[in-house]
Amino acid sequence: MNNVDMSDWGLPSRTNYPYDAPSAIELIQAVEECITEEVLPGSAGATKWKLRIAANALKIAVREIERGNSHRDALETIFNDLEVIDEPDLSRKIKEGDYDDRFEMLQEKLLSIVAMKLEVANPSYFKSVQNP
Amino acid sequence: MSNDTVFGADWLELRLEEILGITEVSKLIRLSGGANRETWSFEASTKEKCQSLIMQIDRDGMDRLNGTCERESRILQIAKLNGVPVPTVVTSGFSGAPGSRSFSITEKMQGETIARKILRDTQWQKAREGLIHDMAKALAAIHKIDKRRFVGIELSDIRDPLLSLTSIYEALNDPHPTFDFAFRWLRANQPEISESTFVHGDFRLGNLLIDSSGLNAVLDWEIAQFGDPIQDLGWMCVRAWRFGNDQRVAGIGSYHELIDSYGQESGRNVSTTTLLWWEIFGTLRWGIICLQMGGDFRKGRTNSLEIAAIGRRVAENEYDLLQAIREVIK
Repeated sequence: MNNVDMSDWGLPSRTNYPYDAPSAIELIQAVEECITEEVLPGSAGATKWKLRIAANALKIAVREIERGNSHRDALETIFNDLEVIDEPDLSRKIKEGDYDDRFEMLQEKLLSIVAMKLEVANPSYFKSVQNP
Repeated sequence: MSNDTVFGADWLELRLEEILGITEVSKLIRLSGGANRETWSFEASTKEKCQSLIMQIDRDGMDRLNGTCERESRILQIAKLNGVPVPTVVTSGFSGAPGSRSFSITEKMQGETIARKILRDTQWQKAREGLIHDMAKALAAIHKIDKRRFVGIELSDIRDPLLSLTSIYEALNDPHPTFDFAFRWLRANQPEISESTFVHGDFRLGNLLIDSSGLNAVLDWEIAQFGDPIQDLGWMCVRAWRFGNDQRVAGIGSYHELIDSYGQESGRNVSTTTLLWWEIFGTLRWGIICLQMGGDFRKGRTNSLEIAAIGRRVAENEYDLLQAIREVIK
């Protein structure tokens, strides 16, 4: 035993006490990679289509877990700027015309919120604005 | 899923015997595509010939969609009589089983419906060249059908499209500030609605059968209704229906090509502003449909992963709405 080099046996510190590793996000990532790299290449037709949707759904879940905290903080700041407490409150005030004199400002703030959602749901969707 | 007793081969043979005579059904295969219904293809052989047919069935357990296949078959027959390219209906009806679902059986026409293939594969190159004109011509034919032909078919007549969309959105009770913003802009900038015609309601690639020479058939009439005809033009300009391409109209052509072709065929002079309003309306409409379909999963009405994933496409439409409105207000 003494002859074995154990210098690289140390494990990365766990991020999810008291649970063991892999963490939730790591498990989801592992399943996603298994689908994409091992199962998908050998599938066809409707099964292939469903597996693509499944892998993509898992990628969304991973991004949501990764970004969730920072997005919630950013959302809080936007709500403060708009003097609302949450999305339903913002919806109500838009309907009541509270921002009609600040339409462009509202547009920019909404775009910041939607950008966070899209970053999680489908980051490849962003693009530069085109002309008709 | 269908089982062997209802919508299976034996059941089909019994159904078709009345219409085609003694029939043997084979090669019953479920096709992919269509979130709201099941689509099956099969072959029906009689003494004289063997026909390829398509069966569509309402999605199971969805009250909102009950009867849509049967209703659609009646619409198809009217469209056919009025010069719109559509498949011939063989029969339609209800399963008759507990939890009865409606179905329709039509001829299987040749061609491709998968938008990404139509937009990218070289074999559809020639079809793509004339497609904007083909689509404009089919739309003009649809919009020209005398509304009285549809007596007995329940079709909504949407005189205030924003109000009708608002009522769906409000009923979902899931506030999305960007949708409220878009409603407000659309209301403030609404073009005058000049007429109400028969409209397809979901006219876009994916619902159109394309063969090597162009448009072969218009499919999926489940949300046909009466309303402003320009909505059908705006709908196919929605970014979702460009399937990743840049060209504004169906991922193939420009506003001007569509406006010119449709003008020639229908005699209607559509302004860019009006078309853009309907494109933005269509984007909001698709966003709300995504919310509603994702809601079917959230409410446990379906366990389809495809439907669940559509719920996450809401954000794409919010993004497009904000981009489009920013373009206009700048």
